[in-house]
Amino acid sequence: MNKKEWQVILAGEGGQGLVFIGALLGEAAVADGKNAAQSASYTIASRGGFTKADVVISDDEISFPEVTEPDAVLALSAGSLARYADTIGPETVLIYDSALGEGPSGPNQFSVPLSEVVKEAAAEGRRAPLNLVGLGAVLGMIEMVNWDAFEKVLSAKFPAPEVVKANWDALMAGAELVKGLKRDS
Amino acid sequence: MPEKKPVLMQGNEACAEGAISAGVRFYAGYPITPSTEVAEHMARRLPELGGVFIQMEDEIAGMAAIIGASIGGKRAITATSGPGFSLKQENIGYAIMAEIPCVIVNVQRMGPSTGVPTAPSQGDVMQARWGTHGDHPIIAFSPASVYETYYLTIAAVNLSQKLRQPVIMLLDEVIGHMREKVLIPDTGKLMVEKSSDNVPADWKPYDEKGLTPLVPFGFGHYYHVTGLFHDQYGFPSGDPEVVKRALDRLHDKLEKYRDEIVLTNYVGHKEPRVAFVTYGCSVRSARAVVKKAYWQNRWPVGLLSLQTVWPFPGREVEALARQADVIIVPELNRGQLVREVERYSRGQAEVVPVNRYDGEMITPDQLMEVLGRWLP
Repeated sequence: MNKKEWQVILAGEGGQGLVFIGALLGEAAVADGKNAAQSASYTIASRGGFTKADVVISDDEISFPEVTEPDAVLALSAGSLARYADTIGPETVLIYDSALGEGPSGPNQFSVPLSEVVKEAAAEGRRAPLNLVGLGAVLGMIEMVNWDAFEKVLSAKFPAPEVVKANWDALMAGAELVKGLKRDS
Repeated sequence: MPEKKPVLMQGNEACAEGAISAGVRFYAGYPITPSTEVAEHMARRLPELGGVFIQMEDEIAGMAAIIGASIGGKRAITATSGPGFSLKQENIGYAIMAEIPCVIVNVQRMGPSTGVPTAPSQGDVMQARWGTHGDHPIIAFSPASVYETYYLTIAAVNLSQKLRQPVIMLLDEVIGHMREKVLIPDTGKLMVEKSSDNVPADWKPYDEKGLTPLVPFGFGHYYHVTGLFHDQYGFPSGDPEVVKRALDRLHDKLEKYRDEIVLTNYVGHKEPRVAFVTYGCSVRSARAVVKKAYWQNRWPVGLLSLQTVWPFPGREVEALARQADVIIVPELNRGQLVREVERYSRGQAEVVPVNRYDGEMITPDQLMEVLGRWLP
């Protein structure tokens, strides 16, 4: 992929760890030798309320740090899905949690069973954070940053190897979910 | 400058790291969105470095504590947002009058009052200038990136020490919360001004001959410190001659070091027809437009970004107004710094404000539309 700039919106509600995965994506991009800017929009509530993280990744200097033309949108809440379903262009990849129920189904709009991964892991006594599964699905559709960079960044972030592994596994599980899906570009 | 490998860092963290790099070892304040990460970072870092972090009972006390720490010989900083910045004003005036170095970070959010805590604004520009009473001088920087935040905080601490003058870091929610790539130099590679070097034998705290370095308490000099007008020894005076001289002294030191204080950056066409003048996060909106209009399409467009908003870069704006037909001033308020731009343009360029105050950034599209009135 030779595109010079990627713009991603990670949306949901407060407490879902959207700013966390936004920062993680930015950190991985920087570790991968690119420029990155991550900004956020949220309400004063620490749980609930519309929240999003914008990530811009580029080989060039980044002028405007907010997303203006998203390549991908991740929606982890009904509110964020409703907000973006009708406002994004047909070329933007929209990935939303199938647990949110019926949603849009354009050629680039995908209902993905993200929460199922979380439940399955819990049933086996593991933890798969929904935000990481969601990010994994986005990266599975559009590989904008090298996977190696995530391994590096996660290892630097978490001292406990089992935590690094849980996060990595969640990313991989997300990517696995979208394996058969094709982007219409 | 040898630099470490690049990292993704938040604006508020870069502000705290810049302060630490410049030798700050004392933080006192009261947390408030969107400035809280400055306090959090300081709370984590300062104890490791032998410094002191204190969460005070309120913002007034936070301001008082850094003034006390500073005159006790510690480089000191506090951070807040609009509501807390209002509370700090009285003590900022005291620090200006008593010539006590300190840096006050104000990460601007939507006001007035408690406003919208998580929304960006550039509504405190005039408060930074005139928030405390009296005909005082002030220095205020407004960075446009995480990188600028780091380096301008270092400059703020240094200038504050050198000039014995409070300096305001006027961030906004976008710059404070944004994460971007930065290169942080290794410690020990930065110029850090020392305030008490070269103290003359006949040192006076407020020497009428001009600026004297601060000698902290406990370093051999005992003197009087007051918010009242004072003579060169620090003792209160109402003598008209002393009063006038003391106020001139405060202003003269900023005038003398103007070139070190007033920082601006111009990018774009050498002879612009239309130029943007802006600061803080609004620089990013304008930069995206200049990228498209000038670097891609070669239109005669430029951008003067103001790292220093106070003292106002009047000369730079005046020079730009002689070249450009139109100066566009984007701001996240109803029009504050645009009045200074108009004043210094002296009618030589048409000055056009672009204002947004709904808690969102000005978008590049919004500015392109305004630009379309004159170009292509």
